[in-house]
Amino acid sequence: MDNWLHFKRFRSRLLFYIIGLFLLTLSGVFGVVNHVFRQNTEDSIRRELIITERIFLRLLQERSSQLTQQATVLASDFAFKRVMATRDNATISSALINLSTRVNADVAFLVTTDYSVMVDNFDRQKIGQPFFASELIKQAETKSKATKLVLLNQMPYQLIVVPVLAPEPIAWLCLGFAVDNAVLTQLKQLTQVEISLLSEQNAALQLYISTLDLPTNQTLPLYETNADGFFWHTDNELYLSRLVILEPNPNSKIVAVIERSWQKALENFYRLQWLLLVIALISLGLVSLAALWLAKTVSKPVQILAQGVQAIGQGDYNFQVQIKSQDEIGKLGVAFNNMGVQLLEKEKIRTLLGKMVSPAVANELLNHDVMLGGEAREITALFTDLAGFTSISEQMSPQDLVALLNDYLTHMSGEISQCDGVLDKFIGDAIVAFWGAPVDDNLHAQHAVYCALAMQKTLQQLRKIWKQRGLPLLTMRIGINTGYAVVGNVGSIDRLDYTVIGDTVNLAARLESANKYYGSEILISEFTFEQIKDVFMCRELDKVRVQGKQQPVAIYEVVGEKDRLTTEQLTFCLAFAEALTVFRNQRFGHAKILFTELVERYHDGASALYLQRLDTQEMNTVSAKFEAIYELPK
Amino acid sequence: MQNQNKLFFLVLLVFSVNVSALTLSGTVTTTEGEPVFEAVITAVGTVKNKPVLSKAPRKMDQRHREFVSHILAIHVGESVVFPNSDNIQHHIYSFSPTNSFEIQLYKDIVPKPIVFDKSGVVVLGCNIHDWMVGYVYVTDAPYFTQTDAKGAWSLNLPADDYTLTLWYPHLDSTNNVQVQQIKLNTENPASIEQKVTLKTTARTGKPPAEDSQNPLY
Repeated sequence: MDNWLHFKRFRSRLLFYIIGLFLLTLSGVFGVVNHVFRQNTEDSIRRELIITERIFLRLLQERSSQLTQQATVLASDFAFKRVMATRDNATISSALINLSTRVNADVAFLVTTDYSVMVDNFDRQKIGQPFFASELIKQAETKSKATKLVLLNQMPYQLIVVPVLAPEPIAWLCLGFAVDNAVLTQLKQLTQVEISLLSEQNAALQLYISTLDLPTNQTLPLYETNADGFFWHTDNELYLSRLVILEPNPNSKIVAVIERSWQKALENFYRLQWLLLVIALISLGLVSLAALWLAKTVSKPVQILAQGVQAIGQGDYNFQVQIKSQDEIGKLGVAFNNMGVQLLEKEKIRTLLGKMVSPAVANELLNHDVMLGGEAREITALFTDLAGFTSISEQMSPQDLVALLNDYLTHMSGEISQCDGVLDKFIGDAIVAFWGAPVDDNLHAQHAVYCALAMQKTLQQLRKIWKQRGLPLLTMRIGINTGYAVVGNVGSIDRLDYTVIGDTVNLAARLESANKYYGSEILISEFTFEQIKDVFMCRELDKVRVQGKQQPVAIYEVVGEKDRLTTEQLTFCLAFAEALTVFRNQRFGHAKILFTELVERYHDGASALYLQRLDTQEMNTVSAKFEAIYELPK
Repeated sequence: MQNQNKLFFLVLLVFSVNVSALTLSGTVTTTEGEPVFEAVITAVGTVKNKPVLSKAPRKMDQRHREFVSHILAIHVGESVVFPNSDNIQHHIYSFSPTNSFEIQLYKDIVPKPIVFDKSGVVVLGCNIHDWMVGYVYVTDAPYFTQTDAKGAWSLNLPADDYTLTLWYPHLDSTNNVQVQQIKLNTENPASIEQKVTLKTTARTGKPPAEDSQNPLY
């Protein structure tokens, strides 16, 4: 499209199209009205002119018959007949003038029965000569009257011929009445048209008299007189006219042009036009206002929505648009606000999850509609702690301490994420994580144990770096337990944590702590052991009584993945297992030998613990009550 | 002395007519076949005979607002009396150049007879009734007659060569006359059939008959 049709603002475009459409409609209506009105006006003028022509001719006829009657009455004047009998021309002339004065005739003639002029008060020179309109008298001989429009000295006259009867015609009385301005004005008053009298000579029209202000000797081209009417114009007016033949005499054809001013006829139309224009302008104003309002109602919410989208784009999910309307745009606003709320919620979850779980878990959580409400499910909880961290924290600057801790925690949380675990929280240098929620994970125990091994491996690498920096070597204790726990968002309305609660978690924490007692790094409960024993090599360290539980719980140290075990590790495990069995069979002497050997050979902490227990044990007594179950140290 | 001469000639004329009178007859009809009533036929021979004038005045009555007769032929020098048989007044006039006169409004009396001593057509009118028209045909011809209702006429004439003139108002010819020469010498001359055309003239119409006791208006 052309450039000019590109609008930067929706409002401008809407305005342009609405007003454009309105103007188009308006101009169409205007055009049609204009055409129809002009056509109608022209048609009605043409019709009126035809009627006017009839009226005009009828009026002329009426006038002539009225004048004829007057002339007939005059010619019947007996005194005048007597004067005629005197044959005294001077007296007759005088009497004729007297008669013509009675009817305001402009000219009067007396013509003998043999058509010669007897008395002529128009042009005295003609007396005795043949009368110029003898054919009129011949007509009167048979019809006792005759009338004709003639030109005398460039002036149209209505000539009336009647006989002077005594009682046979003894002379012909011929009276002429000028068709002057007064007559035309009277006709104009009756017919409401302009009238001009012209004669047609040599294919040109000669004007004699007119109700129009026209220069005399105006010539008009000849028009087809059968035509329905024709337009012609003076210097400043246009007329719709009609040519009426009054005297078809070929030598001196007398015609009347009856006409109506086109402009005057259109005056009504011009008034209507003004009215239409005013209406159009008012409507245009109203339409513009309406279009502006419409544009505003549409564009303002759009602007608000655009602001909203911009705000959301910049991360302001709290942005709420204020659109009050109930229509589609209002619904859009509501939907937008809902979207903002949902985005905000998702973002919160994403943030939350991002801190706790691996991106894979987080995504899975986000993509699937996972309920985050509290629920009891089987999970595996993992607790870690750095041994001796408290003591080294006193030797380091806070900055170094935080840097060290952050480095450590970053690596560890990375491992948890890697193993699809959920990082519950950091407590100082301690880490709480769990598997099996919120995403279902059948191998949660395996994943947790594998993660523990990986974390220890990572720590080995960290220790190399720390060693180079001259930092103290730290060991990590890990406790793992599997069982049912309550999982869910826990906290206040403002602050929620997705966490696990229950004895399962507590035992994991206790197992972590118990590492220092057994000299181990990863301790798991028998519940975890049951789920991982096929994959990982563990050695049973002890049976302990857990608070609130009837059954003692076996605890195991995770040695490593079964596939990756060294022969030494295997030998060691078998040796310890044998020693433990001997101990539990109350063959304390033998046990002491075996444990001592293990301590000497492997510097095994657990074996050392059993040697301590043997020291307090009566060596040679076998008791049926001996259970080899111990309290889990705090 | 003169009267004696006149008397002598008159006697001579009567004698000669009586001696050898032949009857000439004819009809006047329009070309459409309508009889022409009261048309005047005059005959002038080579012998200058003086006509015998009527001592008593001829009569043209006014009856039912019309002249009766409508046309009256007379010899020069004869007089005509115009009685009024209607119960309303009439005002008869003639503005004819030869015999111009007026008898103003009268009724119930017989006015003095008017002597017509010049030949010519005298057109009579009534000043108060425009349609009334009468003609007095004053002729110096020795013989004349008028057609009857059937358009027929006859004249008793001595044998001679005659100029026969037919006159009727509005006859379509010069001076409203038709002239023909005729030799009259046989016992039984042929009848003269004349066909004439009449000029159409506009006439003032006559209103319906008035009843003076119960006027229409």
